[in-house]
Amino acid sequence: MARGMVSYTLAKIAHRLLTLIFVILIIYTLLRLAPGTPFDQYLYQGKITEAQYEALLKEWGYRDSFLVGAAKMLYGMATFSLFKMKSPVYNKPIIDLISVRLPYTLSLVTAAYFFGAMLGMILGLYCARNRGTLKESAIIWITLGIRSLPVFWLGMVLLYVFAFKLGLFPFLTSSELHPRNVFHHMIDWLWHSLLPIIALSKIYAVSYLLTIRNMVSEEYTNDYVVSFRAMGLREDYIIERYVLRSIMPPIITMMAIDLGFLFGGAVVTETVFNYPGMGTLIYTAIWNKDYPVVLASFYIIAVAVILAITIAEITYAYLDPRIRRG
Amino acid sequence: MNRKGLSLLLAVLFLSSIAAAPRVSASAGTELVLAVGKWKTLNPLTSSTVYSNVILDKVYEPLIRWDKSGTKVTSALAEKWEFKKEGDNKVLTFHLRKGVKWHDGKEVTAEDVKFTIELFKSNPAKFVNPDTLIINGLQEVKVVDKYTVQLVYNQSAAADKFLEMAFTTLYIVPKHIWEDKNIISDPTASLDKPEQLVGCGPFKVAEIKPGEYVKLQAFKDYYLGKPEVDTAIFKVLTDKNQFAMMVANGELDAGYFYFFGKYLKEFENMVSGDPNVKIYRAASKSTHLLAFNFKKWPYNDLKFRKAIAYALPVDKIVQKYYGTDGAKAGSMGFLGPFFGEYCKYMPKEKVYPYDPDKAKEILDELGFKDVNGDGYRETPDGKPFKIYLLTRAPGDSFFRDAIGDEIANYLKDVGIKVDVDKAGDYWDKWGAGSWDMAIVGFVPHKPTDLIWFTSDNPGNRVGFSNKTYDETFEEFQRTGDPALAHKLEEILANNVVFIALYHPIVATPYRVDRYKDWAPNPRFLTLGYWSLLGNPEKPTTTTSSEKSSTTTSSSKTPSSSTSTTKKGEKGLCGPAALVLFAVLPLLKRRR
Repeated sequence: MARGMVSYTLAKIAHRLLTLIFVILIIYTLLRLAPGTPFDQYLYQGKITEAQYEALLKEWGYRDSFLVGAAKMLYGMATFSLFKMKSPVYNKPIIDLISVRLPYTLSLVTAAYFFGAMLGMILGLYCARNRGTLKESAIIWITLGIRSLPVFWLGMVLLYVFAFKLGLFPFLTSSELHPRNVFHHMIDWLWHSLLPIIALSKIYAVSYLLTIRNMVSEEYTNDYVVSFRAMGLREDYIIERYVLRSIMPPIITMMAIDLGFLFGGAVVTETVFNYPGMGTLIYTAIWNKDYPVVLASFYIIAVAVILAITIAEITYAYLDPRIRRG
Repeated sequence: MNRKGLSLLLAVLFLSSIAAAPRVSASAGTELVLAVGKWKTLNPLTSSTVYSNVILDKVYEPLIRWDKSGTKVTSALAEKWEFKKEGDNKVLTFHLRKGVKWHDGKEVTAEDVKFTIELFKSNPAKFVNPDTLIINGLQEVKVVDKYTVQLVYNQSAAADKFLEMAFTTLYIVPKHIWEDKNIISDPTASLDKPEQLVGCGPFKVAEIKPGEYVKLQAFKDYYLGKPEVDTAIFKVLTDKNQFAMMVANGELDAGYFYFFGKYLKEFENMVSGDPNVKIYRAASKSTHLLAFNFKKWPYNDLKFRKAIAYALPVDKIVQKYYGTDGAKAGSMGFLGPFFGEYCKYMPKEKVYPYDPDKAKEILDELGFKDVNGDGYRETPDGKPFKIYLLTRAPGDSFFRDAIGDEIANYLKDVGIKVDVDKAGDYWDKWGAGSWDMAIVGFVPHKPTDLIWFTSDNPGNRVGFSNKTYDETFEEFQRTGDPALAHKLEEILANNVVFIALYHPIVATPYRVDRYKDWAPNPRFLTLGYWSLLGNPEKPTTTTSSEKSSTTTSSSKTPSSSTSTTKKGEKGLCGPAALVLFAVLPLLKRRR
């Protein structure tokens, strides 16, 4: 049994590594296909000459052939030296750029993720337990309504109502200039970030609500639930003990993937709320054709997603021997 | 019950802790919050966005700067300067002010000036902020004494006037900081630490969070006297709507964002009745053009370009989106009225008035005829013809795509089909030249920006090439004769290199409840160097004026303190709502 576990894990890891290389190659290819370089604007404004422009392109590797460039990037990723490379746009090591933004992104997106997922799961369970009632259909209709609101629009409305009309929250998410102590700092951070957290958590809440509700409803139609109910078991007990357990693996996968993507930030939300996170960094880097920054960011995201999925899979392979045997 | 009690206790604890920690307010002096867009770097030599330059302008000093009117240069670090002829060479001597201090207390000397200029000369491809005219033909930089620097130029140097203008773009940096590898390891790198950004301007950098804000503090030993404003915080903002709301709300005092046309009307409605919001309007230097791609047929045919010019009632189109006072008709000669004597203002309607019949006549003559009867003209050899019009630059809000549609409509009237491209990859397509016609905005900063239309200038993406133009420009740059500028502009107009659309008139709001002495500079529009300083031109040494300035600041304090208490209330409400959120599920839980 232990041997099965080990070979299963090794096979998974090898598989994932291949996926990672593939993802990076696709992103690099797309970048190379897009026209333009970070120095175009200087050239078009006549600030540098054609010769200087060519020299800059050579210096920063924009004239490398596809294979050489890809090999450089992959080597950088394998040895992690990619993060020490400099961004041609900022002329600064990538690690400096990312280390400033990652905490912001992680705090915002993690908060939104947990808040949204919890809310979605609780409401989803509630809906499943009250199938066919007016309450359920009301919640579902409202959810579908909220789901169709674009995040940027929701963000603007939140800002307009809560920041402008009511004046309850600040516009900018940059935190207090002079935090007094850790506690004060935390409160201040929440005060500044609550609106983006709400806007962003909407995505998670809606998707978890609908998924959980559908899965639990489906599970409810199984015979075993009926017989447990006939045996006189409490409804709560049936859900906690049996229904939830059997729907857990797909939910874990879903949560794991979302968890991995936390590192990518949320471009739209960050843009609307002026949040200095990874999302806006990646967005501007793509606009500026800042290859190293784009690749490094996607590298982090890809590794995080793949790690999360792998851990999830290994976890439930451990929980459920049927999966291991394939 | 137990749970309820616990959560209530928690809530009370939360609230009391917030109440016990009131937000530190700016009790000491005037604090202003200003908004700017995103910048890439605050390095004074590599900065390439107007937003970083607006901030750098408060921290660093050039040798020469533009005065309040924005049309004349005046002394900054250099008290005076003179040009001399020495044989074929031109010698420019700067006499520095004495006793000017860097923010760390050291004195600004001729060595710093020499260091800055030579550093710039060593790598002009990376140091893109200063004007390259400074190093054009520069032979040598000599330190004569502690306060005198001499620059020796050969004949290829620009005219005296243009050199003076060029020096307004070169911020002098401290040699002792920039040579210290522990502080600045690479002078071309992005700088974002206060100890790296030591200047000699009116404000010193107190704190930076890249992508969020820069906090500047008044520099007491500034050579024109301590600024009236004590703290200026520049916050990064990307959205115009947010800017509007924040100014209306009092969270911002001013910012580098503009309104025009219908946006301005909407904003005026929003703040109507608020006496504390004022709006500054000014003609912008920028010019928006309908450019032709000279590398393609038939756009390289003067007759065809003229036909297009006659087919478009530009003033009607522009009025539709900007109203009658939102934009000035553009000049077929590139430089707008902002440039004074260098401008030969030729609105398109004067040179090529709207005349669709004439346009049709020319097109017929060129052989563009509707052969297959679909309402659109075909090329002379009978192939379908379509103009690919590029309109929308990323982040652009100048109604360019709407104007592009309007242009397409008018060209349809003369039988020409237009494809309007509103995709966001404008600059890539523009640079690659994969367009037929394009609406493009230029911001000429100085008369010599006419160089953009010389044959081998990399900024010349339209591909216009004219020998007389090149030669005339060469002479113009050397002599600075306005008559030559007029000649250049006539060449542009006669060749219809572009069709002039408009110079937008932009407006920007500012609040006067915390600070009243805003002194907008037409060159920077609102956040100019003079703003925030009060009035440095008035004598600052006399005690009476100092007294008056202190009384004004004390009279301002009550208003600012009331506003901070208001802010404190806001600070309470937010977290309170938050605590409610947290407690609600606990209270609602099943008993």
